[in-house]
Amino acid sequence: MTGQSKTAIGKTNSARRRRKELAPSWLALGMNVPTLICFVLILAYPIFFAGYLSFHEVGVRELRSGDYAFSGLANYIELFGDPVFWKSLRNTILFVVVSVLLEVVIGLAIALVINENRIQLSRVTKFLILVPWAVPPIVNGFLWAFIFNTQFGYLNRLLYQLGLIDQQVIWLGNSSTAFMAIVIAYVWRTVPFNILLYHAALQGIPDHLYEAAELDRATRWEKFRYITLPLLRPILAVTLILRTTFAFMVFDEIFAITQGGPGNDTWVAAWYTYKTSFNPPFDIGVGAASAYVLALIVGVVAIAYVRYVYKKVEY
Amino acid sequence: MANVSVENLKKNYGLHEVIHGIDIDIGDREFVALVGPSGCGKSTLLRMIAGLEDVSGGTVSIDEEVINDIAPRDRDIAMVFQSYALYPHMTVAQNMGFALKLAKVPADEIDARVRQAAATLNLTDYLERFPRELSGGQRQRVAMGRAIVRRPKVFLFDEPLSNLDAKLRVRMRTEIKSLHQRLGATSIYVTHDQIEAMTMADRIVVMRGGNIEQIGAPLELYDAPVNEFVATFIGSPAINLLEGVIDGADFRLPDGSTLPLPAAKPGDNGRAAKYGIRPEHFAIVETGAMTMMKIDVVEPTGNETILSGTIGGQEVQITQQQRLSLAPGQEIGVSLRLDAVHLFDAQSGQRL
Repeated sequence: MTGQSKTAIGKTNSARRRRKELAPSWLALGMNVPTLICFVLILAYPIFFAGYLSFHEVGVRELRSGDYAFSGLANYIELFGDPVFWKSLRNTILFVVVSVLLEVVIGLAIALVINENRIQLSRVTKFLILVPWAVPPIVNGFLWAFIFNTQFGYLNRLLYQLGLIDQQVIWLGNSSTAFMAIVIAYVWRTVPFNILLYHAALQGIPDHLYEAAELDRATRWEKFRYITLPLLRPILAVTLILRTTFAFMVFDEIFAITQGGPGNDTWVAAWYTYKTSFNPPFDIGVGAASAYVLALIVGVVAIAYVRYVYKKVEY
Repeated sequence: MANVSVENLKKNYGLHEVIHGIDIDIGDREFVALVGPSGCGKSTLLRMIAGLEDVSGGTVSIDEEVINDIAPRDRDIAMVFQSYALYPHMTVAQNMGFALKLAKVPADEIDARVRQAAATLNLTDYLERFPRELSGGQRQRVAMGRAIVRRPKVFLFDEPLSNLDAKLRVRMRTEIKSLHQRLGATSIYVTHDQIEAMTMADRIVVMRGGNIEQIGAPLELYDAPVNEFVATFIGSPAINLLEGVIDGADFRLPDGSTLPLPAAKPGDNGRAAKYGIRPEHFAIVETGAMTMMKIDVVEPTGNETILSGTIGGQEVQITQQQRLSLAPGQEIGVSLRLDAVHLFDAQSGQRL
């Protein structure tokens, strides 16, 4: 008897509890809806819509009529047949390799210097090192565009005053110096991010490992080679993934400094997408296709990094 | 092998001096323990010998050569760290062979020496594992193995057993001691555990507040402590110290009762002092008791019985190598081994 009544009470209790538990989850969903809507509208929808566009004929006429004819792989075929696309892709890959390499090497070097106990850096210096990261990419681009300006630029003025040049150098008029100008401007902006992550990771390596290595008769280089570098491996992999992905999408510095010039010598994939889509003849279908190809390449590279570089270290 | 000597060694951090000019001579093949409470400077001293801390004054020498300005890597010293400091990304074999690899020793010789050390330390089955896959005791042994394969002049140990559980600590204590007997390497061993120091060391250096209180063989420190600090630091349960005044041939406690003195020294009459006697130097007697003890707590440990109580209102602990059926509150007559009584000055704590 008592047992039965207990069960009955238990049931009503759990039923009531279940009803109460539903409320928070609905609340959670409700509170997330605005973000989800924004996410769908500004990220998911454009991504899928671009995919849709890449399989349709989309030009000025179609944009006016709103009637996109299905074109199958025509956009992709046109894209792969365009020598400028291949040139842009080659430039992109060159840019990614050079800039990521520089970011990692310079970032690591500066982080090691900051981490060195014997070197005292003021808080102001440490803060200033991070400032370029806080500058909006487009602003950074224009700053450097002015530095490289032939007539008024600081670079020419400095080199002239140092007596290294006797006439103005047209930095952005030569394809290799223009390319270097973009790499410099880009790396200047992104190195602080690497410094920040490497510095944090270096702080996490226990001192006693270096002391043990010192007593094991390791030189400075050997300590770096056998202790620091392997223990930084996870963070190196993370920065490689992030920085490679972002370098593939470089746009602001191109826009501000060279506009793809001279000629189309500094065209990169993102610039190709932009120019194809938003300049006459407004070939949005082909632009969307090139964006998808770029995304595919970035995805493959990221997976490769995770597979082959990323390795967790447990202390 | 090597002898190590430290002369008038000082260490300051800024204006704050933490080691105040100490001298120690450690002979070839000797096992010396540095003991003292936290912050006494024992680890700092060890790290100065290793070269991991700069010397602020005085000298550190190995084989009569001053090594103050020689980099740690050139001192030919191996150290076992409290945290073990194993390289987390290397296997046990790589950890142990790292120093040899850096020294460009041929791979087959590295392998042979690592295997030999691993066999000594029962690590053969674990050579391909990473430190994270090992237990605390195994990691500790890898840290030892890393030191052994080097065949250095001097071994330094910085509280190597303090991260292990009590049972394992006792076992590793024996292992380290037998290892030292086999290798015969000069060893300096820092610990805050006086039992470790007593059981392992040829000589013990007792430190407090950056000074050396006493240096001596374990039983020397136990039987003839130079001051109250050493007397209380060495021995467990701790020595009993009863406050009172020297009164002729007696030691008078504040409550008026007296304890006999071994040999009254002239001139000490009337001096405020502490009467030190170790727990095992009491005997429970039916007749001829020197004083009475009131029992508060009886703790049987199996092989002995620890009795806590009071003599003349002051707390004492005595140990008896027998099983006793005594009740709290009971009064027993005790006699004392007078040749084992130590008198310390009440103010300075120095032995009288």
